[in-house]
Amino acid sequence: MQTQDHLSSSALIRRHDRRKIRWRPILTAYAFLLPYTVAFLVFQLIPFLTGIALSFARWELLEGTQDFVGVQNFAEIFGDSLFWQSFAVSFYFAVLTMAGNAIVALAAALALKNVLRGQTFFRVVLYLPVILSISVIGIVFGRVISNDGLLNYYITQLGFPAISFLGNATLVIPSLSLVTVWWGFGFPTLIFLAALYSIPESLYEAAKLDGAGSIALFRYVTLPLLRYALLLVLVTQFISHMQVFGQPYILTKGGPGYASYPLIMYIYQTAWRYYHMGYAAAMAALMGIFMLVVVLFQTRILGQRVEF
Amino acid sequence: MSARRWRRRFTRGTIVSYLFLGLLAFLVLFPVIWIVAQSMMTESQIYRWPITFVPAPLTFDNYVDLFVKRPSRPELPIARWLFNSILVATSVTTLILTVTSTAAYAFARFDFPGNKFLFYCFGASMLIPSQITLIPTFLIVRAFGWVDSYHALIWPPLAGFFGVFFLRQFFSTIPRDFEDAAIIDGCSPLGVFRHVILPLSSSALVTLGIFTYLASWNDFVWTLIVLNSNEMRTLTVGLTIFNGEYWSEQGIIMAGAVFTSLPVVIVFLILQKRISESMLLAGLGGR
Repeated sequence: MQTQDHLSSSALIRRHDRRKIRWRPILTAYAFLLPYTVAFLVFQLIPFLTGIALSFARWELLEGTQDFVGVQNFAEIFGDSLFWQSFAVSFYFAVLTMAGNAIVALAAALALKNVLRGQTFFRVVLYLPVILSISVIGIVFGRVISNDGLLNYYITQLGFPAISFLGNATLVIPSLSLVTVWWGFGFPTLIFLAALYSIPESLYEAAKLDGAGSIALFRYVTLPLLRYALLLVLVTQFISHMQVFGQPYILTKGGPGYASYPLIMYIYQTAWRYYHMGYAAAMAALMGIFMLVVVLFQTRILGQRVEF
Repeated sequence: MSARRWRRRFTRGTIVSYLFLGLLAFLVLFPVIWIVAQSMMTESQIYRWPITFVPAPLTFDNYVDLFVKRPSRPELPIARWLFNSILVATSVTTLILTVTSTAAYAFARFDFPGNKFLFYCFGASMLIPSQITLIPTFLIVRAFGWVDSYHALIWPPLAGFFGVFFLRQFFSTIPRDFEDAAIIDGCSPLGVFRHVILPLSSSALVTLGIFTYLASWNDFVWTLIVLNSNEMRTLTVGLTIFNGEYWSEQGIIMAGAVFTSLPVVIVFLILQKRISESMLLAGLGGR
């Protein structure tokens, strides 16, 4: 009751204020908004519109030519086998890493919630790799999964032949994906943990009274209530790993052959080594549209799950 | 189910959890410890087979070498790179916190025409993948004459909407009574913002600050694109290029990796409690 009174009295005060000086708060609001809006216009809206325009142009930075060519860039891209190869590399990597991160993070979060003593220690340790930079990851795993590295040391100790993790065309993407899971699973772990703590204990009590075992508890209470966290993790993971660049750039240079040559590396080299800005922009636009479609698809599938 | 059986099952679950977490922690720490150990070894011990873990003799030459110029290898201006990284990440974080918090406050608390419309317009930009804007942003930065300067790294990240979105959510949870009291006491809108809203949002600001700082510190693609000269590079890019061009001395590279990670790790250890706290508060997981 008392909070009700508070609310209405504060609303009264606000309404009173507004009647007295109507334009002041509006100008104040715009003043507060101004710095962000300027940054948004210059570095988001204008680049976005330019990017769309650029993808319909032949723009060679070195020759200085800028011609409108319609959909020619897109037509060329559809016949460009390297585009499809690098697209497949990025997509395969993104799906593997997204799944790996989500599974490891969910398991880690469930385990963390089970543990009271030492939870902070484990949480800090599991998050530690997230704060390392890509250059450090490159240096560490250059040593760990190289042919004469730490991992192969133990593999040969056990009597198996050494595995060329980065030199083998079928193994290179799963290997890079494994490195990336090591690097990144700590972040989704925190998201899942926060979501687990937001599930009311009373739901578990009620389900236990109804005789639910631990598997049933997970399947019918935990999992449905983690839906939004899962959606958040899958969407953000897919977006960020579809854009993979640093790991192959440092560890494999895209090799062997083009087996780990991701789309961003192709776009990067097209634009900044060969200066075909229009063609690169068209590839970027296609990639952006594809990612948008996948995200909308993920949102639909997970969003429409039946309420419990 | 009897209480005893329940308790037994509970302990079994806890044991499995500890084992699993122990395994994960081992897998995380093992390579890290090995690299730290190698950074304190002589070059011949680093390449010794079978692999060793205890530096013998223990040497800090690799760390000293980071700061000493040698004619036999490309230049490694690590102190300058460290300075660049700190300067850029600090500027970006300060500016983003300022710009996004003011905008978020306007969206959360003011009833101006276009509030909803602008919020959704800006918000839609979060769906636009950064690839589409990457090349045009480079062309804009180039037109400003910012290639190979700090400006190129500091200003473009300000356009990101996530901070505004995150802080607006948080500001909306603050009861209005606090502001009303301040207004009655004669506080201006800027005063309310500075003395009421910001202090009450410190954990959200710290979280956003940490994520921004890390993102800036670790940025790779953009930094690679807009910087050319060796002494302008950040640690992340400088160390990577040095590593790629110069393979013959592994010890110094690993010392570089450890040395450059240390500041971030220390800051993280100090602030780690804040991160998980405000993730709960901001409802990043739940809803």
